[in-house]
Amino acid sequence: MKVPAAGPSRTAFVTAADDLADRVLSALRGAENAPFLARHVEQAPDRGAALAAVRLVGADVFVPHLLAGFPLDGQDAAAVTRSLAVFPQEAVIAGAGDAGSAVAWRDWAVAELLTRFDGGRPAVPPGEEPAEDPAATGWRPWCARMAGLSPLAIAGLDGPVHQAARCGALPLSRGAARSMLRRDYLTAVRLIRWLAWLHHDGVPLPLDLEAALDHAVLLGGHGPRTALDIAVAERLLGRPDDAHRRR
Amino acid sequence: MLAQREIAGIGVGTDAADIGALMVEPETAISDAPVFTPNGALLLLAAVLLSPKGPKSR
Repeated sequence: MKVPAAGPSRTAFVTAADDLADRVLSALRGAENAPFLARHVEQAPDRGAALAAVRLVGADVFVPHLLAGFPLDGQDAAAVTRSLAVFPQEAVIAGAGDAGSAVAWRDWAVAELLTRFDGGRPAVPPGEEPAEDPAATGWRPWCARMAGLSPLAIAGLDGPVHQAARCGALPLSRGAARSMLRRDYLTAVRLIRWLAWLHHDGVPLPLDLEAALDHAVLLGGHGPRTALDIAVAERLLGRPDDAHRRR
Repeated sequence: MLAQREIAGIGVGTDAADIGALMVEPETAISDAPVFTPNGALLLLAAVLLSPKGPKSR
């Protein structure tokens, strides 16, 4: 997994996020039982890094609940709430530079799913636009922003970001193809996940998504967080999440 | 319970900013063309140079 700049906490957070993504993937495949999130944080050697990992993985911690009918345990909900309290949105946005709205929308997705599974008031969407019109800003920066919002590309979640994606099938396809040509498979897999969500939503696509996913998996499907993106994309395409291994 | 436990040693400001930076990772820089692994060109060259000479023809 790429680290934007060297730093002990960043390295620890990325490692912890990979560990957590691995745990989420195991839960999705039925190899974990509740409360797997709370247990993961409790047993982590660095509990602060484990909570940071919950913030980094974001709405993807609910993938087993959304796609596999996994029950949300109260302790798991408490772990997610705790991560939001320990690393508040204002402080997190400060590190995101001009992409702060992406953090706000990722946090909205976490709050929305937490509310859905654990009860409480519905999450309030951020006031900012999720992503500018690709025709105005250009499809390349727009795709980079959508790649950062890939945890929102999951069945059962809908909102302004998803509406923007529905209007951007062609830019997303271009972005996925461009990322693969640049050998930036991390971004490619994230954009393919959005395209898989569009396919699941019934939007016609100008790209052979199965071939694109197979290509990205073969050349760049490394790392637990990418594996989680791939597993979600494969489920959205309606094929088993280990289909690529049997080919 | 997890929620009641104190999380010690967290520098919230710096660490939270690090989380923000990691959440919005930019695109990776373009990489070089793929090469065969292992890259055997130098090894083959060394083997040719170090190999014993062939028998002289009469």
